[in-house]
Order: sequence, then C-alpha cells, then structure tokens
Amino acid sequence: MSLRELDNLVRIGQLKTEPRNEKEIGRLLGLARTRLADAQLDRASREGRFSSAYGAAHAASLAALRWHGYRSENRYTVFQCLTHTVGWPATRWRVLDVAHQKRNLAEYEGFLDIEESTINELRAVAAQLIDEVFALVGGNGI
Amino acid sequence: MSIVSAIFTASQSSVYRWLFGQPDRVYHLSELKRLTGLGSASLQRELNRLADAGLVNSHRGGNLRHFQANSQSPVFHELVALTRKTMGVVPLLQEALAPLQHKLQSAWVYGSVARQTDTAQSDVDLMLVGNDLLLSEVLTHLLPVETLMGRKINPNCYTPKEFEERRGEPDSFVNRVLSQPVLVVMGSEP
Repeated sequence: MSLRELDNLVRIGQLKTEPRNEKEIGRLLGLARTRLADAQLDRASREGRFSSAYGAAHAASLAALRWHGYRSENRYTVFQCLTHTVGWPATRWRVLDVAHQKRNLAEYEGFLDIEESTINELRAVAAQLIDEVFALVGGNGI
Repeated sequence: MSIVSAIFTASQSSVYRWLFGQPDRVYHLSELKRLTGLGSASLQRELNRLADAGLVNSHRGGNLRHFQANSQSPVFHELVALTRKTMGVVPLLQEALAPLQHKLQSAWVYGSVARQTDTAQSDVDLMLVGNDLLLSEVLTHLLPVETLMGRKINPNCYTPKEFEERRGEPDSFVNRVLSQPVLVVMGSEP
C-alpha cells in the first residue's frame, strides 16, 4: 500500500521505501507490548517507566510505517507519519513528539525532567496505538 | 475588545502579523495571499498603502512582486514592537490558552523566542504550570496557533507540586530555563 503523502516524504528524502516484512512487524509489535508492560512496573524508576512507554509507542509507530512499506530512522518522522499510517490527529501523535524531546533532554543533557502525569498519558497513548496498529495489520504478530 | 482589533482592521492585522511580525522575511505576493487568507483586492489595497507610505519595500523580480518591511522607515521599530505586542506570540498564546485558564497557574515562553534570538524556523518553547493538564488537551488548543504563526509550539507541563520540587533542585531543567529570559503568558514573573 502506498500513500501519496508518504511518497512525498520519500521524494524529499525524509522517508525510505522498503517492502513490507510481516515478521519484522510482528517483532516490533511484540517489542511494543513488552515495553508497555515494563512501563507498568511499579518498582521501576520513573525514568525507566517513561523510557519503556516511549519505546513501546515508537515500536508500534514504526510497525505501522513498515506495514505501509516505508522506513525512517528519524523518530520525529516516524511519529509524524501516524497521521497517514493510522489516521491519527496531530493532537494525539504530538504527545509522542513531546515525549521524544523529554527523552532527548534526559539522554543527551542528563535532565530527568519527567512527571508522573506525563508517564500516565504516554502509557495510555502507547496502549491505544498498539491496539490500532494490531487492527491495521490484521492480527499479524500475535 | 482585544487590543489588536481596537487598533487595526482585520485585514491590516493579518498583513502586519507577517510583514512586521517577521520583518527580516521577504514575501512573494502569492505567499502573502496564502498566509493572510485575504482576497486579492483587499491584500493589494493594504500592500499599496504600506508601499506608498514607504513602510514596506516592494520590488519586482521577474514576474514576481516581493514585499518586505522597510527597516529605514522612521516608524519601523515601533511597528515591529506594536505588532509583536498586539499579535505576537504572547497575545496569540493568551487567547489560545484562555479556555484552560481555570487549570493554569502560570505559562511562560522560554528559549530563543524569549531571548529574541529566534529565526523564522525557531520553535516556540512553552512552560505550563497547572493542575490536571493533559498534553493532548493543551495541544488541541495550541495547534491552531501554530498554523497562524507558522511555527511549532513545544509545551512542557508541570503540576504546581512538581514545579516547586524542580525549583528546589539547583541544576534542574526548570531552573536552567528560568535563569534565562522568559515572556509571561499567564501568571506572574517566575
């Protein structure tokens, strides 16, 4: 399946095309579920739960992109494409972009500026995304 | 009545927002038509008035007419300041965040926009302190302003309790941000 908006991103070099690989999509969705479960572990640190919820959302977003036959190593682009890969409004995928910036602040500048409310919202967004991507790929990767 | 609509007509403010809001930028006529959403006739009327008075430079390159604020005009700095104060980032954000007022304690713009070192591509960094703030809800109110400004807004939300905790840590991100210039959108100076 090819999407006109995503083909435009390929043309300007922000996205690559790569044939769908169902095994890879299954692995990514499996990873998304594992990381979401990690994000719910009470004994884990705040940073650990945040980073797990963020990782879950990224893996699910990438699975959706790969299902349509595209790939990107740029995380912002992977989130941005949710508008087209699962029809998400900007208000929803931009929550992931905000999380991405918080993650960068933590990993590159050591500022662990993560609030419980952010983790809660991120977990809910990731869980919903996993469900929607699972429905999109028609049950692949159980 | 907002300050901007007391001073400017609707078509004036939509033209000033771009020409004097980003005075370094050169615009094509078709670009201004798209950005302002004005019809050709009213846009031409506004631009001709500004060009005749020497407030805006207009020059022709090939088939295209270009427009830019004239930095040599005697009221250039005043117009830029008036535009920024009445329809710049802060008033736009105030209007956009008004529906969340009951939850918000403070809101500040920080980063390059607050330091006035921003370029046309700079994001607007926004720090929000309030109760029960959901990012998705905040974004719902902010995204229309992004379109209006042509810039991305990065909201950063804290509960009052979390904010005070961060304030108490000398090397926190919050303290780094607040040791630099900020623009007050809601509440008081940090």
